[in-house]
Amino acid sequence: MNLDLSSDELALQGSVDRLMKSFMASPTDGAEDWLDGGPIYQRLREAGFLDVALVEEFGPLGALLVLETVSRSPYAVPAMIDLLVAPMAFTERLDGPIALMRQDDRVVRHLPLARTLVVLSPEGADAYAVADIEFTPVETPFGDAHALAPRLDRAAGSRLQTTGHSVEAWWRLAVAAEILGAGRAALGLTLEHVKLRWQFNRPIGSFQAIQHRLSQCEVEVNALQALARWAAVSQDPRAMAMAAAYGQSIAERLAFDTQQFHGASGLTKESDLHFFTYRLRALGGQLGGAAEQALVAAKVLWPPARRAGRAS
Amino acid sequence: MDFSWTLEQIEFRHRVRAVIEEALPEDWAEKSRYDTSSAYVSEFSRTFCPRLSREGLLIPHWPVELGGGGLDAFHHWILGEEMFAVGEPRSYQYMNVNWVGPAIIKFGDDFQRERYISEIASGSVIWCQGFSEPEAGSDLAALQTRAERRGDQYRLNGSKIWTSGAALADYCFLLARTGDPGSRGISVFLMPMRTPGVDVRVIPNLMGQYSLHEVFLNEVVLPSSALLGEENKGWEVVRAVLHNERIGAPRYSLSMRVLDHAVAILEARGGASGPARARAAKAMAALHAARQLALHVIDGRVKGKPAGGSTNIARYALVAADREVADFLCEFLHDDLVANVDPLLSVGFRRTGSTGLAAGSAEIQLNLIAKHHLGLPVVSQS
Repeated sequence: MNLDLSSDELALQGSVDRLMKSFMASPTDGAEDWLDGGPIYQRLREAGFLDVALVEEFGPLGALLVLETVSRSPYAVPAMIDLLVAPMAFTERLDGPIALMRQDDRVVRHLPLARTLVVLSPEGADAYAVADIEFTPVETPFGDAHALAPRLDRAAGSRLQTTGHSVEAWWRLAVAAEILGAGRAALGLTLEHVKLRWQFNRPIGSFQAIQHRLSQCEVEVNALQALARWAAVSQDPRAMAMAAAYGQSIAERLAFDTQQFHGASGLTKESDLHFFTYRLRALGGQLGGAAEQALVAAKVLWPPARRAGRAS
Repeated sequence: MDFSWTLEQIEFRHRVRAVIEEALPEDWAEKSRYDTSSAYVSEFSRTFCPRLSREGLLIPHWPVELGGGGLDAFHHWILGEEMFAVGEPRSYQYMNVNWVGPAIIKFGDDFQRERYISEIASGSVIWCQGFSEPEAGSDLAALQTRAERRGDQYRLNGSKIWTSGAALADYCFLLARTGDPGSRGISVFLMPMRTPGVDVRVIPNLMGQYSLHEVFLNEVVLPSSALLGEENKGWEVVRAVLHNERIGAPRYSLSMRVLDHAVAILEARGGASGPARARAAKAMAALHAARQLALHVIDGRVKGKPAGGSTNIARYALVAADREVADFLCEFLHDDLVANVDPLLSVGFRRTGSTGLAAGSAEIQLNLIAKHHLGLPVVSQS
């Protein structure tokens, strides 16, 4: 048992921090609903960060650490699937950025920035070259590039070989990691704001009503981090499902409280907050939302044949 | 990062389980009702703890020269998880090994160490904690119980409240004011409960038979050798104690067992509904999160790091998780809870009631997180 990051893991975190440093705030006070993180994705790829899950000394924890950091950026960086899902679940290397959808999804996150679309169905996972697909991007405030789910010629897809790992299990953990990053970013902006914003002759961050809710947010973000890292290292299906269920459960509070304490400025596009609050809301509903992840967790925790037992 | 237990730690856990299994009677559930504070469990502890002592399982994490096993804080934690999961058969002796003993080891003189540590290490005494007072709860530094020095004695007057196990205890780890108002005028006394002038009243309560008491001190005379550490420096002891106490009892281990049990009951009755399973899984996720945060605190202890805000964060996570457990039980096992026929369900619900109050209220944890961890500005608050 050693619950601190190793020196290698800290060094990895430090390197991705340095790469992301100039992308931790939006470049303008513009009116964008989302910021194109495609170039950041390329830089991550060139620097080798996207392959970190397959590097022996890092494994999925390394990918999780990179994704946590990348997700603190307001930019829509389409790296989630490349980092944590594809290397763990598919045997072949796909042309990234990768967008992932279930066959019944009606919108697809990151599709406008992607080169490969992977579609999950009960039969398996099929990859499509995005260049060959017609799709309609949607205008939406939810912080990322989204498109309506395209009509697909099933014959154009190629069936992917899986490693035996569940694609959705890793997807869930990746969602948890992005909630962690976005939650930390939203909380960080809010802490700055409540220290600087004065009302009633004092910073609003000195009011206990606000302090307690922000402290609760801090507890929950730390709890999610602990669960997600445990899940990434142990690859325990219980932990992966619980991290996702917990993450999606807290996404709502993080979005609500951080926006609330920004007052009306949290509703403007002049503040970066909206990238995170809207992204948190969207992430909270991915893959069917917290209730679905909780049901998945329940299935692992309490399979029908198993009776009560003590936690190990 | 490495989340795995060593083979030695796994073996240690199995050994603890084996001893528990062998020592607990078959009707433990009915007799104990998993009530740490009951007369039955406290009496049980007076034979169970000496047995643990003989097996090297009472104070495995204490230094060898003090009778301990010299093992690290993870072993202490494993021991706590297993004990708490079965309703804490050590009764309040768990406090002895968690924080009373360590405080005496750290702050006591040779006489105190020799006298009290050997008793604790043999598993033969129960201690209670005389901290809260009617006018000093969360604002502990406002305590008013007075200890006046007269020669080589102290004369104590005042009262304590919410004291757990006072009617069972042999000693009290007592705070009293020896100096000016505020935290700099407080001292710690090691007080035998049978000292003349000590009067105990049981407060009828929902937590357990001897969970809550008032302790009245009327012209209680203690020798100066009862003072732990320096006069007026008690707050330093309190801070050390509270860090060990906040992350001291692994309450989640019982709650996890209760959740498993609750889902099994629902499944046996034809299957838990989707909403029930989802709610139970969310509660279990919160418990596991609390466990991971607690393990992080223990990891820090093993590495000798200062406790910092991580203790407050871990404690609040536990409070939030236990609340989810209580909410789940009330919603989906209403009849069983109300009928009060299943000791495990009943205790699972009952224990969650005190998680946000014991070892400092949840709101104080939030204050401390805001102040020390988030760096938020403080305007006249604790």
